[in-house]
Amino acid sequence: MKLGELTEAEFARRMTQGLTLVTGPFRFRLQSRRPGVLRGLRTLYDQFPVEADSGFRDFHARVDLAAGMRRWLKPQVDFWYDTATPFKPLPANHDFALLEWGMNWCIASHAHHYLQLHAAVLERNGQAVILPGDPGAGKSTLTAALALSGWRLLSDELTLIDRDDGLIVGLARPISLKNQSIAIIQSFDAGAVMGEAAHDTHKGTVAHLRPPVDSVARVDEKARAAHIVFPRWRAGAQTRLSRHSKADAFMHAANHAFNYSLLGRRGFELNAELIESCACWDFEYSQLDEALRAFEELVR
Amino acid sequence: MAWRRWDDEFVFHHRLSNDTHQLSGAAGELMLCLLENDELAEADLATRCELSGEELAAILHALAQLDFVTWR
Repeated sequence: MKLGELTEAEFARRMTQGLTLVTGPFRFRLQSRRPGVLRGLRTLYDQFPVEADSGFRDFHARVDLAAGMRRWLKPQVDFWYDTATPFKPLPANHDFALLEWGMNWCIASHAHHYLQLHAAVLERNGQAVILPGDPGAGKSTLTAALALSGWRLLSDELTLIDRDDGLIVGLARPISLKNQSIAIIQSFDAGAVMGEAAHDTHKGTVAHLRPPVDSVARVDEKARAAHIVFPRWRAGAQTRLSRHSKADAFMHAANHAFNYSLLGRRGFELNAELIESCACWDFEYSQLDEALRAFEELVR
Repeated sequence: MAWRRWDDEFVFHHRLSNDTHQLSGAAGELMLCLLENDELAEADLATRCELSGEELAAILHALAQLDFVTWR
């Protein structure tokens, strides 16, 4: 059953008692009474499978009002992982963003049966393109535009490399957009479904884009990496794709991975196999439509 | 040590320290020589790697800083 097939009442009831949401290879048992969390899940995760509240779950997570006097003055919310609260509480109207960040943290901190790169990844014509990106590089905007243009989204934040076969495992969760990217994507595709914006977070204004239905449906299909593209948005820049040194790409991937060091020699070998199988590129752009054409050429 | 070479650049992974470093072609070639035979005299190393004495010293110093070799 999909989350969107639950009635409002059943959904709210299960969110109180525990709703098992399947996202790629992970099962989250989620709990929350927060209206923002419920609305966010209904809007952005409606195509995701939900399971009966029994059996094994990878992560037990909860977002609820923080205790204390602030509850009545300036309400805040906590993210609970099992019985721990790994983050400081955030303003109550950041509840859905906190859930998203918390879910990312759960995976990044525990799923070490994958090499986890801090990068978006999409697939077209059987070729996965990995997009590492420093903050402000335009990675999420490009990822969202590609996903809305028929590319299969595997992840906008966590590239998961299977330790056994070196293939990329999909997550296809909502794409996190920040600040100007939100309006850019709304004007790029008027039909794009966004969650509510959370203002004044530590990342500025944040809103999430619903992942494409096809990407969610095909999340279990692994993908083979073909390109690693380091995007950089610069005002007025000509669209330009140029070769990036493989050794440098290796180091970038390793330094921005969540668990490269933890995996030791296996991390080195997985990263090396990835780099060997990919062409590595620097990509500078200012116009989204030109960027999309360049990406189509790349995987033709 | 595990290593890879792409074009004229290397990456080396040191199993004991779990550190990974990117090395230039010359430094990488020198590391490969040392992995093959770590008892070579400096003069022999320089000859094999086609380096001057100064170049060899500079690279060995840099490799020592990375804890890839012990030198002087």
